[in-house]
Amino acid sequence: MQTSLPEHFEDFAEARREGFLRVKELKDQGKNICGMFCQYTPAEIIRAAGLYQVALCGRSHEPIKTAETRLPANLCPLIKASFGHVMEESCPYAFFSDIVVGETTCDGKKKMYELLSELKPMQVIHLPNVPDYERSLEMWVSEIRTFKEGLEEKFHIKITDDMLNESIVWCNKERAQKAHLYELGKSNPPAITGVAMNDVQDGLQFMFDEQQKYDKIAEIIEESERNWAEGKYPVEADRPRLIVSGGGYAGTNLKTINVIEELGGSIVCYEGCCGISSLRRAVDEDTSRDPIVRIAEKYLDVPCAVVSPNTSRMHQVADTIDEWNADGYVSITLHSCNPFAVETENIRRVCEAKGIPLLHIETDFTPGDEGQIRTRIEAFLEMIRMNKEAVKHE
Amino acid sequence: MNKQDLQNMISSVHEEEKKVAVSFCSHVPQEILTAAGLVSLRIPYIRDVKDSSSKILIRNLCPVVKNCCDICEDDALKDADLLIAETSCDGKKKMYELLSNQERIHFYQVAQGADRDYVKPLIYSESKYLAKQLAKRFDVKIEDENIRKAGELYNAERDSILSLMEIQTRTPPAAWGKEIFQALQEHRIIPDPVKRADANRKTREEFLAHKSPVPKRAKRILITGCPMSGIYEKVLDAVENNGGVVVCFENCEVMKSAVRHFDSETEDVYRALADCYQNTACAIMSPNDLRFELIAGLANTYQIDGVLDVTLQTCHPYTVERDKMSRFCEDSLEIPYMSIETDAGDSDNGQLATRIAAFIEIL
Repeated sequence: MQTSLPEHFEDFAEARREGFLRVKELKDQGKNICGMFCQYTPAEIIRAAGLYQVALCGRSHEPIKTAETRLPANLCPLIKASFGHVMEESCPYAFFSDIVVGETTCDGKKKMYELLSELKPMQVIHLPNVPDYERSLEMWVSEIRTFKEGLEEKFHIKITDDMLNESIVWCNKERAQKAHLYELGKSNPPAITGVAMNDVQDGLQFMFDEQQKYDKIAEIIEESERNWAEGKYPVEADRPRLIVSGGGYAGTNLKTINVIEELGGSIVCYEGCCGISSLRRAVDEDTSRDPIVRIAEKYLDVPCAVVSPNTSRMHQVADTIDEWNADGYVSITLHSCNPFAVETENIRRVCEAKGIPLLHIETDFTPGDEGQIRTRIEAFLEMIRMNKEAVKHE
Repeated sequence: MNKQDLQNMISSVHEEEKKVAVSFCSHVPQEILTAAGLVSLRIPYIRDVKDSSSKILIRNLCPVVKNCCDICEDDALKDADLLIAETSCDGKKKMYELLSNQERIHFYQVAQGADRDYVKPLIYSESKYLAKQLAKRFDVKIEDENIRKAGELYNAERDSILSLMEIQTRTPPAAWGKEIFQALQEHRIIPDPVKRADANRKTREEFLAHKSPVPKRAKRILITGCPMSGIYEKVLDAVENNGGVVVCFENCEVMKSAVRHFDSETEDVYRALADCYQNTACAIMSPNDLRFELIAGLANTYQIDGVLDVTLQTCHPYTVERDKMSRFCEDSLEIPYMSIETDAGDSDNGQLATRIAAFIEIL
């Protein structure tokens, strides 16, 4: 019943390993690189400016010691790692970045950017706090326009509406495709494992030929669907179906999401930062309207934990549970991440109303809590299996 | 302030058939609340409220956010008519979303900087939006002239705080910093801003009527950083029992909010509000140049010997800003700087005293 992974998966792992070589090649060809940290960064504008966007490193505990010489110890490891890498010049992507884009998402990051801007050329975009068109769209449009003008000035280019429109259409297409990848998890058994889903999404960030990237994902989706139709499933049916949520936890994958699947759970979808959240919202393609306003509208709809009140995320959590038919919810938050950790309580309430349990894992990039996390995941899966059994017997 | 004081305040306001609006942050434009006929209470740290935060919040969170949560969920606040939830720091804004009575909350959006084009228009539109919502919620009409009058009222209160603090510019300063902070803290339970200003002025006169209790050789300390109302006793004791005297508080309970001014000559009152509240030297602003300017000015006026940056645990805005602040004090101002990180408990009293004493010794 178990089949091997579609062959293209390996390409994505390789992309991550060799990403820095690709970035160096781009630099050698005279291309400009834009480092970024967050899904809020308007990709359409960076792409229209002809920049190559790359996510900066922030998943290792090694540079944290360096960072703590200037940052408080009680701060999210992602923020410390990102800053420490730049201090040490140990992140090749930051090293090769011609510009780094930050956004005032959480307090820790926005304050860290003030220090980072002493080391790297930066542009910081200010985000609204209240996700409401009437109250926030105007300021948000003004910030995105400032960002666009900043890029034009720095790189001596002109970003026209046509360029933005072309970018909007392409980025929408990419988003729809990535959403499709997550949708493979809807079937029972899922047509793709959660770890594979994550590997692909993760590897994507380090591939720079967009057409090639698109084609590869298309092949993976096609192959997964074909396998499923032929009864070749990546995992057996009726595993506990879980949704994983949270922010910035890529550095914890090996002890969290990998362990979940190793112990017999199935991650059927991701919600939150790199999950389904931003993928299902497209930018309006009506070219009669100002493209900057249309881009602003889309990003204002991102239900990130940094906005308040984040009612739309709660609706989304409920909808995702229903649509993916989830048995449990796992919220992975990093130490000292106030927005996602505090909001987990609200998600717990949604899960309670939906009658499914929630597991909150609060962790960092060090290996010290691996055993403890494993035990908690084990117990959580066991509880779900027992609940499912009980339902069956009723 | 204790729980009973808060309860008494709210019921005395209700006896006069007025409504109570509570807020926890100096970003909130109280002028609008007052102009709407509400009594605006800005609530400090309260010790004896029931614990709710440990059930709904994560443990590693700033003590002010936890206390704010406890106060809002306590019976003492159950009769408050409106709660202004300002989106200042992450901890607070997310905490407000978890409170049980969401009906009485108004989310007020705070800008994240002071130097961007969007900032004044945002304060302007958020103020207008608040006024509109209040008018709807309480069926009142908010006249511009009433906002103007309220602006003058709060100017008078701000001036009274500035002039109370001003007595510390003398040598020796006219009072212990703790006495001044305590007086301001006590006056907060007076619901009427006019009477609060009177009380501040009276305290100033009382201090000036007596000979200063502070020895001339006491080292002059400027305190900056997080809100102090929950920790002022232990911090100020540590400074003032060890050869120092606090001559100025840059914190938001004192100078940070008092240096702002509402220009009642400005024709559009909302513009006047935007100008006034933009000038908030808070660490949630990025970059927070205003705080650095404010400290440079105060260091000069109050002839500061040392800067003590008091931060609360898990307060990311202020703890991350320490790096810049220490460089600024030491390199630009050439004034010795020390930071401490503490919480509302008393387990670190001894350690604080030792560290602060050592700092004062080197001055």
